[in-house]
Amino acid sequence: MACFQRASSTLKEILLNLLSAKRLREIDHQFYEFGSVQYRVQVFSSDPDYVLLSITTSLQSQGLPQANSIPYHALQGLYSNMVEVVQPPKEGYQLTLKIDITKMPQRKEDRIRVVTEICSVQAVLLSSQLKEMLWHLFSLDNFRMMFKPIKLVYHPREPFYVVRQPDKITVIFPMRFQDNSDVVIATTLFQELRYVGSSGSCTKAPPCSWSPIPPVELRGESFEDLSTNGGFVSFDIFSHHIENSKLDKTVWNLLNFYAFVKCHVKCTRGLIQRRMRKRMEILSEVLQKTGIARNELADRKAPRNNRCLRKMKSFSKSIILKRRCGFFARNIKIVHSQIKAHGLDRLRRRWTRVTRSIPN
Amino acid sequence: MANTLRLYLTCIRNTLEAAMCLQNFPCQEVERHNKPEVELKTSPELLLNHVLICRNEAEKCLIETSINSLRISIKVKQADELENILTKKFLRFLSMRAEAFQVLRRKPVQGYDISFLITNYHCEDMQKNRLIDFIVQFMEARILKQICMKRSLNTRGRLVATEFLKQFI
Amino acid sequence: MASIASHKLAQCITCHAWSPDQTMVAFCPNNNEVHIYRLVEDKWEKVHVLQKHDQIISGIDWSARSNKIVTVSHDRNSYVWNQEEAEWVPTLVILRLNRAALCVQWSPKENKFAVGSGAKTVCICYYEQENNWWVSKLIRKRHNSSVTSVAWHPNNILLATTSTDGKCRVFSTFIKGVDSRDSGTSLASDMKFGEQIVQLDLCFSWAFGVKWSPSGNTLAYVGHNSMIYFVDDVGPSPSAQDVAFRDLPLCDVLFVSERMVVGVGFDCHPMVFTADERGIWCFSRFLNERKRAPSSSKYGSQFSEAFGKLYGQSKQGVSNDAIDSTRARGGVHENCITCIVPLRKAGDGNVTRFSTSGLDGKVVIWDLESQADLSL
Repeated sequence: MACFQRASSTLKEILLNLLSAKRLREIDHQFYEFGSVQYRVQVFSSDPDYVLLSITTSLQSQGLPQANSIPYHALQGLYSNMVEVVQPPKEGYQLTLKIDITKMPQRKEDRIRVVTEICSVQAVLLSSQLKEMLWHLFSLDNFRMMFKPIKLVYHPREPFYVVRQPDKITVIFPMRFQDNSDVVIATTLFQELRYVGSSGSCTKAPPCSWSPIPPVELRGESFEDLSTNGGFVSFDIFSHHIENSKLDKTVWNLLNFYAFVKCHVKCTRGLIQRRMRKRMEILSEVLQKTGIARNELADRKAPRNNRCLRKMKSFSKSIILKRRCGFFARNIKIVHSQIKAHGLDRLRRRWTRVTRSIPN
Repeated sequence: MANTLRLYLTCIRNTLEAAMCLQNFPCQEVERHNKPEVELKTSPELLLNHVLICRNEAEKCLIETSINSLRISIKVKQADELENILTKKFLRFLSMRAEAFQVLRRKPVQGYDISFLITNYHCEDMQKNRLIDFIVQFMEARILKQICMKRSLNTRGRLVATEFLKQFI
Repeated sequence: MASIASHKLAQCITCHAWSPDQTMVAFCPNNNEVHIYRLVEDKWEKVHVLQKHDQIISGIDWSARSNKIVTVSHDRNSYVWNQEEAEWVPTLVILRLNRAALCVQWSPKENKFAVGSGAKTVCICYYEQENNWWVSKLIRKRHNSSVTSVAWHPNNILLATTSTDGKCRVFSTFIKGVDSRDSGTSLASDMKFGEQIVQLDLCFSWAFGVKWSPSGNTLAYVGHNSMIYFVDDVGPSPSAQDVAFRDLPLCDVLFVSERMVVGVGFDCHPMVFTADERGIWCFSRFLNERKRAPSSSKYGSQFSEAFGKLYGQSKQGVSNDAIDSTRARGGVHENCITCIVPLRKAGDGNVTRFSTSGLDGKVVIWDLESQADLSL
């Protein structure tokens, strides 16, 4: 599961596109986001004032008390008069919303705000389950009971565990990475998380810990779930973390933890790469200087020593590609304009298609 | 630490100064070939004794000389995982762009992190002392960069961690 | 300064030779061609390009009397070039080598020339009138490694060689029908072709650049261990001296008189060695005065700054190391000197002018007469 924004940007774009047209076209659009959320947007010509939005999240969590706890009350509150929940939902979906576009506000900013709100339905859906569960676990007062860890699977490769402890709830993330260097980068982050959490500035946040071996709470889980290369990160959630408004933040942060770590790793890799490129340019300049004394001669002859300098002028791949394509396209255009022979129409059409597709 | 680093680099510089006396020398074994003897090692009389300069166990520099080529292999200190990864990444990055550094050997000599192969042709093209400057600067940069990079990665990690935890409040 | 002219003729010069009247210079610009330049009104003009070899040319010699150029190359071949009217006409010499040829020199009488090779052999070539070609006779199985340099004794019979096995050897090259018995000294005249007269095992590293003194009494050669060796009484009981110097090794030497030798090599500055009245050789001085440029070190601007910041050091502290490396600069040659050739005046035993060429592509002419303290 990868999502930082509550509102799904793809869905938002589709809805805004739909709304910008004067009359709704008939449409039946089905798509997945991040492999875990499935949407279906439908407009029927018979009923052109309404957009039907169906959504399902492929949650495969075990040990959950009530699996299909769609928080209708929350949804009803959110979208007041222009959205109604269709009962029962469409076949294969958890929830179907019927959006009355006649009631959409006319001002553009307002409309974007409303659409954004509708689009964050996924966040509501996704976090509702964890919210319910946290509430549920805290409401149980049986301290002596041993609680089995609950495995939550929001993304097939990224399950995490929620364990009820006597006075807190521990959320444990097994961390897996493709690359050894990713592990190292992430590990520094985890260590910093632990350090920052225990230092002064963030004492109110859930305490965080990291261990390379599975924590005791997960004893008894299946072996493949416990084999990681990045160790285990756990957050201790106390009752004050799920009070009122904090609940929403806590849940959303926990859901986004994987995405957050991944984003950090990716950005850091980018940073390292940039630094290395810069360092290499400096070094290659130093090597360039080795031949300076004979430059006056080299300039007249084949510029042997400058070969690497030219190479070293760094272009990003896209620029290089653009240049090449631009050259290619220009050439094609020239060819295109020159050839007027019969029978080449078909070929020519193909060329023009190429030229058109290149700028994309 | 700064002083030992400087001594180490000075020692390498002086050794290179003396060792980089290369000349064009055709292969004795294969007709019409001209190859770096330090790589072939077919004629033992064309090789000189190699020089090993150690700053400590983890950081050393091996200089192998032959009549027409010179090989410098460097082992960089890798105190922890992060340094290890950074070093590997950088060296891999460099060796993939070896053509930009004409003197870089694509594959390091076994037991070392990076190798340079300098032939008599490089000495014809480049000024010898600048070439030595380059090698020494490379090593110096390598060591200093490692410290800077590590520091900046840790700082970055801390900032990101703080940001994340602040979201809870 | 002792250098009277310096000409940058190419990117890199492997070897050069002068025409008999010293108005033309032939050199190899580090490729498979020989360029011949003539000095016309203070400017060098390219007059000929000799193209026949297909690999880098390692040796050129221009005979003083017969005006022939011999070239050898890494492609295993040798050509003798004859000037016929305006053209240089090559004659292929079958060296019978299977490895690169490394060096060449005309014998004093110019009826023979010797080629050292990477095949661990030496070829002695002579002209056969009846067949109208150059014949090569090989000295085999004497060297354990490549032959880096050859030098003819003034008697036209003895040949000294150096090799990368570190040894210097002297051979007889008496060839029946070419050399007459009475022409040689008593020592050489009863020797057969290819017979080794002496083997000098003084050097622990590679030996280069062998030369005889004008009288043929002294032999000098250099080792890659920054040593120069002087051998007197070449024969059954030679006496040798070795002189060590503190600078980078030499590549080639030249006797300017019986008691003075100029050596050139990796240090970029010609060195003068002299013998005193007792015949003891020692390093005298560098030929051109050294300009010790104030050490404005190029020691990594960015890096030393970073260095200083990190360790709180001043930049001066860092750049101190680099003084040594800048020392060698500021001379006439900027890279290794590989070749030194005398510029003889007719009928004069001593050499006062000579030229050097090196990897920096310069040909530099030196005159010792302007050096007051160097009496010949």
